[in-house]
Formats: sequence, C-alpha cells, structure tokens
Amino acid sequence: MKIPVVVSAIVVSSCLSVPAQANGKLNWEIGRHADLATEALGYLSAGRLPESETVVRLLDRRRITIDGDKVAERVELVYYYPSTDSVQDNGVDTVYWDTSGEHLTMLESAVISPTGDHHAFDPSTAELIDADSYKVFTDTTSVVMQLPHLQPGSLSVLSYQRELLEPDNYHFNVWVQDSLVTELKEVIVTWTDTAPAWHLAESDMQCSTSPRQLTCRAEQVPAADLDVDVLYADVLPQLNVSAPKSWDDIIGDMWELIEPAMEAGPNLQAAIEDVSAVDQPLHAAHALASKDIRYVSFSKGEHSHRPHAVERTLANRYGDCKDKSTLLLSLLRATGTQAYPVLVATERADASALVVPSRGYFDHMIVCAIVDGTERCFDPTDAYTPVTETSYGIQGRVRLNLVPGAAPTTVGSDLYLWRFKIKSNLQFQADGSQVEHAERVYEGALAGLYRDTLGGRNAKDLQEWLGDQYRETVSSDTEPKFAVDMLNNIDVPLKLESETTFDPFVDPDTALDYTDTTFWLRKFMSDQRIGNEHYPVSFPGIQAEAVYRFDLNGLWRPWSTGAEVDFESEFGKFERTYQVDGQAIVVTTKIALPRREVGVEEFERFNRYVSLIYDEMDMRFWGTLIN
Amino acid sequence: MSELSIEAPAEDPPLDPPAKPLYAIQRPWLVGLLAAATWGFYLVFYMYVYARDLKRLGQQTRPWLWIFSPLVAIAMPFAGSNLADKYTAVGRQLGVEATIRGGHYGSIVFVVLAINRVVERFALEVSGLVTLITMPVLGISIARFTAELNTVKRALPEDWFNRAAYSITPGTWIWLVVAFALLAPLWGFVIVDEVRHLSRESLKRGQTWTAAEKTFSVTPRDAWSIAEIGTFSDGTTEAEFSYTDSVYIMVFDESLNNNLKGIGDVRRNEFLSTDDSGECNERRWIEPDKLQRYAELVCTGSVLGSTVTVISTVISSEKRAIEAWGEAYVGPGEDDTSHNLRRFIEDIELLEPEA
Repeated sequence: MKIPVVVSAIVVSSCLSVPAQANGKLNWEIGRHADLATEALGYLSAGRLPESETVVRLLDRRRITIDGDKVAERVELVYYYPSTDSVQDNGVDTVYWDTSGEHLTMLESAVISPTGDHHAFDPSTAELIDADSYKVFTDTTSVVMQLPHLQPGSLSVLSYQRELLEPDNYHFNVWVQDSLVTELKEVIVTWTDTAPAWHLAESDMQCSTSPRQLTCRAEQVPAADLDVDVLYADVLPQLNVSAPKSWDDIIGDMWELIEPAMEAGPNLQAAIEDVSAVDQPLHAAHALASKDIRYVSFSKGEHSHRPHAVERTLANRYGDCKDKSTLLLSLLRATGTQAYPVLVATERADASALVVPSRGYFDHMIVCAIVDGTERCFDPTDAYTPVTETSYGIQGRVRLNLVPGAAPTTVGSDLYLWRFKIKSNLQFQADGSQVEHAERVYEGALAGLYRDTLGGRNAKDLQEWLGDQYRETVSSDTEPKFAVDMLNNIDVPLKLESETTFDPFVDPDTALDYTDTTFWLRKFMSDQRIGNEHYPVSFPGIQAEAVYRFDLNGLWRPWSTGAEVDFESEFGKFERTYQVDGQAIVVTTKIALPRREVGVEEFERFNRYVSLIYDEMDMRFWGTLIN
Repeated sequence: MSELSIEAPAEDPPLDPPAKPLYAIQRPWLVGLLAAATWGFYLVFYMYVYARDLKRLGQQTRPWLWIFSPLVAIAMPFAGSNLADKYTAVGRQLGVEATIRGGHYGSIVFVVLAINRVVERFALEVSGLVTLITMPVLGISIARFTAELNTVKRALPEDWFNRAAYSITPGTWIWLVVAFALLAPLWGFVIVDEVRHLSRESLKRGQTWTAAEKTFSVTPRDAWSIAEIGTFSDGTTEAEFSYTDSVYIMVFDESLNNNLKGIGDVRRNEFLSTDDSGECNERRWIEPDKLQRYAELVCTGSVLGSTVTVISTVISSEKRAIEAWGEAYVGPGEDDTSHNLRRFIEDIELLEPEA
C-alpha cells in the first residue's frame, strides 16, 4: 500500500538544518582505544566466526554512565563480513549524531583483515551528512565512514562515545533487535546517585540489577523482519533508560521552555489585533502560523526543545514546529480559544509502548484546541491542510498533551483520510470522437497534498503538470485544458476541471458496444494493496465517488448496461449503478473503505478485496443505431 | 367393456344415410398410439372427426368447436361425455345398446394433461419422466374410448364409410408420419435422456463433489447429475453437471478465457443476437466469508410467443470460474420461473486449491 503520488513531493523534502551550526562537538580519538580491536582479534584467533552469507554483528555493547551532571553512552561494535556481497552492501559505518544534544567522540574505527592486520579509518575521509526528517525538531547528522581494506573474512570495529549536553533529560532507546543478526548484545548502565527509570519490552534480552548497575544481555539475536509499511518503534523490542521523571514532570519542564517564548510584545499584539478583527479568528490564526510564517528547521543548541520567542518568530517570518506552534498557541489563547501545545512522536502509533516517561520519544510539536466542544489538532508546519482537518502526517501518532495530568495517547484520525469525487460528462460526436468535461474535487488531506504540489507553479507549468498526470492516468494521446479552482483557499475542497477531446475511436454507423474505465479510481486503487508480510498495517481509509455521464447525442439509443455491482465486506463497500437518462447513461461508482488496522492474518483477504474492486473499474453499455 | 343390446328402442327414428362418407372405423390401439406419441395433439383431429361424423349422422354438433376441447383440457370430461351420449343415441337408432363412458375417459385425459402442465410449471426437472408415464395412460384411455365408440360404428352399414373398417386412412397416415417421423427424435431424446439421467452418477442435495485433483468442489442445494464433458459445452470444460437439459452447470478454468466478464458478455451477446428486443440485466456481488465473486446475468425475451428467461450465474475465485446456466421457457400468462433457476444454483460453493 502506498500513499498517493502527490505525497512523495512532501516526504522527500529535505531539512534546512546546517550541521556547522551545531552545539555539540565531534572529536576524533581513533588509535588511542585499542582494547576493542584486541577483543575482535580474539574472534579470529579462536575461530569463533559464524557460518553466514550476510554481515553479522558479533558484538554490540553499550555502556551508559550516569554520573551526576555527566551522562554518557559508550558504544562498541564488532562486525564480521563473510562474503563479497556483505562487503559490497555493508562496507560503510554510520554514526547518527544529535548535533544539538551531544558531544560525539569517535574512539575507534578500523578493519581487521582475515590475517589479523589492522587498518585504521582515516578521519579526514569522514563525511557529515544531514540526516534530519522533515519538520521534526531533532537535529541529526550522519557521520559516514567508508571502511578501508575491507574484504571477505574481515572484521570491523567501531567505538564511539556520546556525552549528553542536557543530562537532566537523558533518554536512551536501545533496540534489542534490528536488521542484522547479533551474536552478543550487552547494555551496562551504571549510576552514582539516582537510579534511572528503565523498561525492557518483551524480548530475548534478560536484565539483572545490582547496586548502581543494570546489566542486560541477549545472545544470538536474529535479524528483525523488514517490511514496506511499518513503524519499527512500535513493533521491535527496545530497552528504554530515562531520567526518572513523571509525565507531569515532563509537561512542567516543557512549559518552562514554552511560556517565556509566549511573552507578548508589539509584534504579537499586532498579530492578535489582526486575527481578532476577522470573522473567523481561528482560521486567521491558523493561516498566519501555517502559511505566513514559513517553515525553517531551527532546532539548534538550546532550542532543541525550547521554542524561539514569538516576537522573534513574527519578526523573522520563519520558524520550526515549536516556534509555529507557540505562535499559534499564543494567538488562539489571546482570542479566547482553549488551546494547548502537544508533543508528537511522528514515528510511533502505539502509546502503550511508552512505559518510561520521557520527552525523548517525541520529535514534533503541534497545537490542539477545543472548538465548539470538540478537540481539533493543528499542525502549523503543514501549510496546505485546511483548519477543519487534521494533517495526515500526525493522524494516529502518539502524543502527549502538555496539560497537567496528561499521559500519552494518540492524535485522532479521520475515518477516511483520502476523499475525492470525480464527475465526468462525455458526449459522443458524429465522427466517433468524444468530448469530456470533467471535475475532480479533492477534500481534506488529499486537497492539501495537491495544493502543496501545485502551489507556486505558473500557469504554463500548472497546465503541463496536470496534463502529464492526465495523460499518464487517462489517455496518452490527449491535450486537456485545465481550470484550477480554490488553489489558494485551503479551507474549501480543491476543484480541478478539464476539457478534453478524444480522437474518433467508435464507429457511429454500427451498434455501440462500449467499454470505458473509471481511470482516476483505478489509479488510486492500484496503490492500495498491502505489501507488508510481517507487521500489521494502518489502512488510512478511502472515500471516493465517480459519476460518469455518457451522452449518446442522438447517435445511438441506450440498449443494455453493464453489471450493477455491490461488493461489501468487513473492509468496506464498493458499489456501481447504471441509470438511463434519456439519451444518456449515467454510471455511478462509489468506494468507501474506512480506516482500520489490518492484521497480518488479514492481508490476503484485504488484497483479494482490493483486487476485486480493481477488476471492476470498467464500465460497459450497449446502444442500438437510431436510424 | 361395453355392453351390447341387439334391440333398438321402438321410439328412435331410423337413421338416414349420411350425405358424405363417414371416417373409417379405426383400430383402438392405433388411435391410442397416435394420441400418446403426439403428446395428445392427435386428439384435436380425433375429436373433430368424431364430431363431424355425428353431424353427418344427423346429430346437432358443431365439429370445429370440438377441436378446442383437447387444447382446453378442462373441457375434455364434458366433451367426452357429450360425444359418448350422442353416439349412444345413434346406437339406439340402430338398435344397439352401447355403454360408452365418455365422461370417464375425458376426465382421465384432463387429469393427464393437467399433471403435465403442473409438472412443467413447478417441477420442470421431472417433466420428461412424468411424460413417459402419463402419455401411455392417455393412449390407453383413448384406445378404450375408441373401442367403445366402435361398438356403435360397427353397426352402421359398411358403405357409409369412406374406407373399409380398420384400414389406414390418409389422415391416419399423416398423423403417423407426424408422430414417428417428426416426434420420434424428440421422444427418443426424452427417453434416452431420462435413461441417461437415471444411469448417471448423482450429486445429492447438499453433497460436495470434489474434482479428482482437488482444485475445486461443488456443493449444490438440489440434486444434480454429473454429465459427461461435452454434454452441454464444446468440450473445453473441466466438469459439467445437469439438473435438466435446460439447467446445467459448467466449470471452466480461468485460462480458457471464460472469466467473469467474458462469460457475461458472451451470454449477453448470444441472447441479444437472437432477440434484439430482449432485455439483459447483470449484477455482481461477493460472498463475504470467502470473498468469492458472483455474477448473475438474467436475460428475458420472447421465443415463439413464450417468454424465455436465461440465467447465467458465474462464481469465480482467483483461479477458476464456475458457470451455472439455466434456461426456462414460460408460456403465455405464466409467471417467470427464474426464481426456480436461481434456487438451483445459489448454494454452489467453489473451493480454492489446497496449499
């Protein structure tokens, strides 16, 4: 199952953060910590190498030290490359570095050849690559190291240490299982004063505690199953170690960061006056925070979780999710709306997995408000989703309302995330050609995605993009003309109109035996099969309607129509009806597949149902010659 | 047997010779055979001829009206009784005391024809078998009736007849040709089919039939016979079942291009090409538990004054399609029997290949 084509434009957008501005430091001390290399040599000399074709992690040891104001994690890794393929596919070491939250010290990176020769990595060849996800407030850089002298039978060793810049809110999320086979996984947590809070999800790992130490160990950990559509944080076991806090502590800490940023000044006062002056202050506030303030990833240094002052955000006319949310929060509260900030974990949908309270799970901030007695949530980093809708990127994700007494829940989800209607009037011409006037109306998140894709294009560019999409979807040999309505008014559905002439393709002198296709529905349904094998999928819900009116234009008399269809199952409903309206045949097709969790055991049935619907996209009718 | 009396009642006037010759005295068994072989249609001719002879013998009859008595079966007891009374009266004029049980045989004819109509209407699947039983009954009854009428006719002077007694007249020859040259193949087909039905392996109600390779099975609601491949198809099916000769199931493999849409379109085009005023409607649905797809095409049109309803139901899985095909002729004024056809096929189950 995939999201529509237009979505990809957003997903692949890059972050604007610049690693050079980081607070954390990167130190290279390679060559001065030979103990791990010595340990790795032991695998070679003892002949303790596993039978495998793929790379194996022989050792994954993490030592977490909590020593008063100093919290650090030392990571030691040893890999074995048994084959040429494993060298080709895995000959790169990558360390993910939160540049605003930690100092990173590289202790060892080297390759040990099958004969025991030691080849140290040259730090001057390291690459630093921005690894942020879009619109979240982490600030991650990849340190990429191409391993030298790697050949089948080699080992590689990697050791590094992270030292947290904000030790009060430490949070370590150790994955027990990942994409590689691991022979030995060890986590050793030591502390001098207050014991950390910790939780181990059900897994092969075993933990034991002793005074001031927690030791967890797992052997022969198999590689995790990988899938197409999965939030791994929800399904793979993890060991979480966090500063001992309650959710209320975390909420209080966040308010200490947010409240000063909300301090009113002349810019905010002016904005409040502007927003209050219109009929719909909520719409105006949302438009200001989401559209007028452009998004810039700005989570540097102390601002990893602390928003910039609203005054500064308004002056700069840019901000990140925290800045935009704090601005929207200020405006809503100033105009009398009960609003509150909300932390969101964009990579998690299972709130029950957050056993140990920590803000470390969360990477995004939004605002929720009570409007007409109902909670509505707004993501002001999304400039294209209407104020009446919830952005698709946060639907169903784990959240923490920054309200005293709150605990993690999930953001509400639409019953149907993807909603659209197609209306096509096709008239046969005397020469056998056809003229089509079509309307496509996209609502909610789908309208937002189209607006994001189409916004900012000039008229020629817009025609070209829509023309290419039409030719790819409907007919390659056409030159449709488009009119786009309400492209910039995000609070109403987006309407795309088109006029198309199809070259003659039916013989007006013979009886009509006609087949056409609901192309837009078919294209959408072609992406809805579930590709997962191992993990459940959250199907987002589709509600679509296509009404095709075929005007026979006095050339034929309607004679017979195709099959009426009613496919109803536990996954939803698909309907097709025909109606003869004088000289015209009206074909109505409806799809309503609501949002639901699809379990692994249901994949075959779900995909079968999708295929059944996909196979019914053709419309049929027959006509007799009038003369 | 009829009773004879050799003394005529004194009050009955003597008979005048007929203006035209009478129809020759017939052999009862031949009459019975013709009536049975022609599904009773011979009676139209029979009743007309016997009524015409009565008129020639001075009785008040309108022969053409008697033609309708076999067509409107309920009239047969009255027509038979009337015919018998008039011949009895002729017998008395001849001094022959005959007992002719016209009402009795007319009632038997009525019951036979009524049973056939009812069976065709409500139990089409056994109509052939019922016909094989009822037509001999009809034939025997008419033969007995003729024998009783002959007691009177034999008392008439021989020169009053157009042919010698028991000779085969041109009219009889015509009916013999109709009965044996034209209807013999039909009779043969019915007989052979019924015998074949009885000898075929039967699929009982609710019983599951599984293909030898266990790739599919069929569980009908009613009893079906397993037919030889090619009985109803061009021989490309994987299996065939019949309920009657006009209601049958064919199992296709998807690779034979007989998928859901293909079958529906082929059937629709076949039907509409023979009756362009006909009407076809198709609907498709799924069986929720197994996500099997069903398509039912119902075409209704007119053939020789009768309404014909054709139903093609296709059950398809991802790899196989079963078509259940039914055709019902409905006489003027009768209701659509498509419900019965649907009932035959609504409980067919298609299993997927075993892993």
